[in-house]
Amino acid sequence: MLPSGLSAADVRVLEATLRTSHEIRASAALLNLDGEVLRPLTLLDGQVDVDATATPTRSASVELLDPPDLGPHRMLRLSYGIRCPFGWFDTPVFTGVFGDPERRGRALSVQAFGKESLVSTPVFAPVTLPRRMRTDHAISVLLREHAGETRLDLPDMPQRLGRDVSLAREDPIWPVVKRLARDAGRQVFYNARGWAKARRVPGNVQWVFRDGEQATLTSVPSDVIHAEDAVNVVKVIGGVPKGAKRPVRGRADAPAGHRFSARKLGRGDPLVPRYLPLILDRDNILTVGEANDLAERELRDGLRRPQDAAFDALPNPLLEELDLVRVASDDLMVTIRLQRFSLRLRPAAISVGAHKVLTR
Amino acid sequence: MIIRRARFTWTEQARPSADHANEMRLGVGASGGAYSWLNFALPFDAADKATVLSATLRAYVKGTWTGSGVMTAKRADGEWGPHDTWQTKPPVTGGGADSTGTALTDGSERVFNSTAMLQAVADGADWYGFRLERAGTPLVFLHSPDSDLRPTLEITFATRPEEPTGMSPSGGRSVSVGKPVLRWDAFADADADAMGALRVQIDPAKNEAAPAFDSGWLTATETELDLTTTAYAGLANGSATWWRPRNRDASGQESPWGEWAQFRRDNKGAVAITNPAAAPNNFVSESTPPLSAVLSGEVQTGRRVLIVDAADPTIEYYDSDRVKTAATALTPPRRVIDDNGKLYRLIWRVFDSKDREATPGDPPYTEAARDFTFNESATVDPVTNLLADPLSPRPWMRLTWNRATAPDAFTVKRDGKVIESGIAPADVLVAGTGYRFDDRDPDPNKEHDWVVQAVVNGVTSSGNPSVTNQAPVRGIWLHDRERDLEVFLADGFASTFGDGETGEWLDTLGGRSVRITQALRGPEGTVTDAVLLDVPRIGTARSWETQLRKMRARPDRPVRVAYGSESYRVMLAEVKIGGRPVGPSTNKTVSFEFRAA
Repeated sequence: MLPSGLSAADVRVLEATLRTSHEIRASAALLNLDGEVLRPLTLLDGQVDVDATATPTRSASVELLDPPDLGPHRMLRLSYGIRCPFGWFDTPVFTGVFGDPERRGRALSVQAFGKESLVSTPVFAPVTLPRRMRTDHAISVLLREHAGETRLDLPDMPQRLGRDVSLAREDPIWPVVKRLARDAGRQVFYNARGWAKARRVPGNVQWVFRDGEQATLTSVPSDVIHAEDAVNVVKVIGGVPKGAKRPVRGRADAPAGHRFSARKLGRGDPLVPRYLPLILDRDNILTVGEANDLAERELRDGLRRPQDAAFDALPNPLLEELDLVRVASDDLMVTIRLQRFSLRLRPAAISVGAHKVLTR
Repeated sequence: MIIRRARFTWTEQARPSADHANEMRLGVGASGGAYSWLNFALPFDAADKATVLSATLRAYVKGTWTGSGVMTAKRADGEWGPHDTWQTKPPVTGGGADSTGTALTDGSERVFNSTAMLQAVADGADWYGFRLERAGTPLVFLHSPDSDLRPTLEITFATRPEEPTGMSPSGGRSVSVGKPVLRWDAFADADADAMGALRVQIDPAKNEAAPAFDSGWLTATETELDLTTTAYAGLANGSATWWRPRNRDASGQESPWGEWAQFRRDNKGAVAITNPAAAPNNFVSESTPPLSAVLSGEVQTGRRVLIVDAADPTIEYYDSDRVKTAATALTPPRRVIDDNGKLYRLIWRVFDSKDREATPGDPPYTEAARDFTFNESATVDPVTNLLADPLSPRPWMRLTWNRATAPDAFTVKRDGKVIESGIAPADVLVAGTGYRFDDRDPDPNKEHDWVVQAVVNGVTSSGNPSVTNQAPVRGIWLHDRERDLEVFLADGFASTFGDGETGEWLDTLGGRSVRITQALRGPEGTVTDAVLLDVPRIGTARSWETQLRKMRARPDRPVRVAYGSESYRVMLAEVKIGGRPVGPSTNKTVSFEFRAA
């Protein structure tokens, strides 16, 4: 979830407000490409769609009244506010660049796309990142020095590149950034504030959608399985420790009883297991313990990945792509990663699991 | 955690192909010739590596029977569904759990200790649910999950808390205090344990073994540590450091450390409000005063200015929104500051060039506030001979007054609110010392008080005369002041007037309805079958129609609608002119919708 800047006590108040009748407000602002707020815009309607499998992951459809020039040199920020007992709490839900506008009288309809759009064009000047460079430094060099990005939120990523990484003129930066982050066990994405954020994919449940007394679900959730996304065995090939001849290796297998285990998905008699492997090359890992830990962590995520659910619920504007959420209803109790959801900038339910056209 | 929903069926040897799907009862007994099947959705899977502390299956007898009441629960070892029969039922595996209790009276409880069975599942064994069986005769029944006395599965289990994520501050962003409040994602243990304690390490070089600060385990119920409550020495201005948190649940299980996250300390500048001045001179003497503030110690890149009610700061009179500007002055729009003697609060927020992160008690801007009043002054002579004359049949009021010398500007107030300010005397001069102003927006058929003030050198006169009157009107008047368009519509029409609201009821699965409200709109409604009618010496039906068509041609322009005792600034829509001729004349009817502009 997007950090709110609130104290823990106020976060509890905010969460309670989101579960009960409340007042909202939505606003739009014009930004320059460095993310500085230039002026407010008059927002008539809008919707933010998030799809963790797409690039960019966030997009927005908005209708603006009498906007100024919205060229490629400007960006849009959308914010969602909730009136809480301690006052209005406003949080960004989208920051990105404008697409092609369509004017209807004084109103202008325009789509906007997350800032990945700014770093998905060819790098043009060839770049080589040398072997042994730290991952956080490598990502910083690509985004800061070759894409002009000043909003970076990178954790400590001491993992070093196993080999030189080169980008030719026609290569876009963002896929390389994503690959570097993934190799370091991180998710990288542009968050609602417009920061390029790398993080370990959360293992904690961030939000619970439930029925019953504290219900936030507004539709019966449907269980969705994307079996093709499952990983049931992870193999990690690490570096070669000093004095050794072979690289360290780690492995984790799904427990036999798991619905996506190689045995459960196997067939034939005798049973032939069906492996859905993930093989990771990590030159920076030099102990078996580290390799096994990484394999276990990736396996847990790989086993969760295929489980999805689709439902409507009371909106929470702080949710981010790949947050871990739990659906707890009479009919379904499941923990899922948020892959797709749509948030309307008007009073309406958040739609999880599928994009719905919510705007007029 | 109690799980109350389960898939279920029962199978019987006596009728091996019988399908008992969705029955309100579960058969068991008949000397082992009837099995009940129950499959609960477990709150963990094998990947969670859970330790099952206890698991209790409960079921309830339906009806009253004789014979042995002892039952046994076993773990099913194959898939089954509600339509499975004795012929297609799966086998069972592992040891069973005998029930406590032997009574076979209606509602008597059977309790099965299922801890070992579910630990096996947590350790990786397949989970297809329970099979309940009973050796005794005869065939007896249990309440099914569709009945009120449904079977339940109560589980207590433990898992290791996950690694903390969502650290704030992070990303190398700045805070302005040496000991900020550190926050991370809320604690949510898979086994529903509460949080028990937290631990935080801080070190500028990410030294794990000997960090500069280690809080040790601190009892906590929230993922938050206010460093001012610790022995942490504090971060110096201009320095950066790294930190990482760790959680422990109430049962003592520790999470791994979270990732190191970096933040900086960059002190903020200081904002000083220069107008209004500090007490005792904290007042302004005009309704659109030049407000100003300066930032020292940092470079201003943007600002946001609010004017709120000092007594109730949730009432906002003005919000500039955040804008990129280095300007230090701002003139608020009209109608914001207009109550003589009222205490306002000016809140001036300045953003600087640092990438700051909001943390509790440390917003990403520098703020100053000043309470002030709007005071009139006896040093400026007021106007004299103020009169208010209705401009019937129009719903307008003509104000006339005198002043010996022309001031810099006049301000006109109606019912204590500024309706026009900065009026140049030359624009309202009639002759000599006489002035005239037409108020075209008062609510008709309602008494109002008018005051005209003189403004000289930014100071507003006090002791201003007031005048009370009302503008009688019939029918509906539409008026676009900027384009000098007006339309009269005669009585005899149908109308609906009311305040609008943008909101939605969302019905939750729990049966609650939640209202999300976005805006409480102003008046809106419809007018149907109003008639365009001649008004002697003012206008003809044809001229009204011409002007109404001009209004219709610009649906983006607000107009004033005066009707009954109300006057609203609205947007017109769906304006329809024509319909049927009325009587022998050619007068036309008019319908339209309107919403507050």
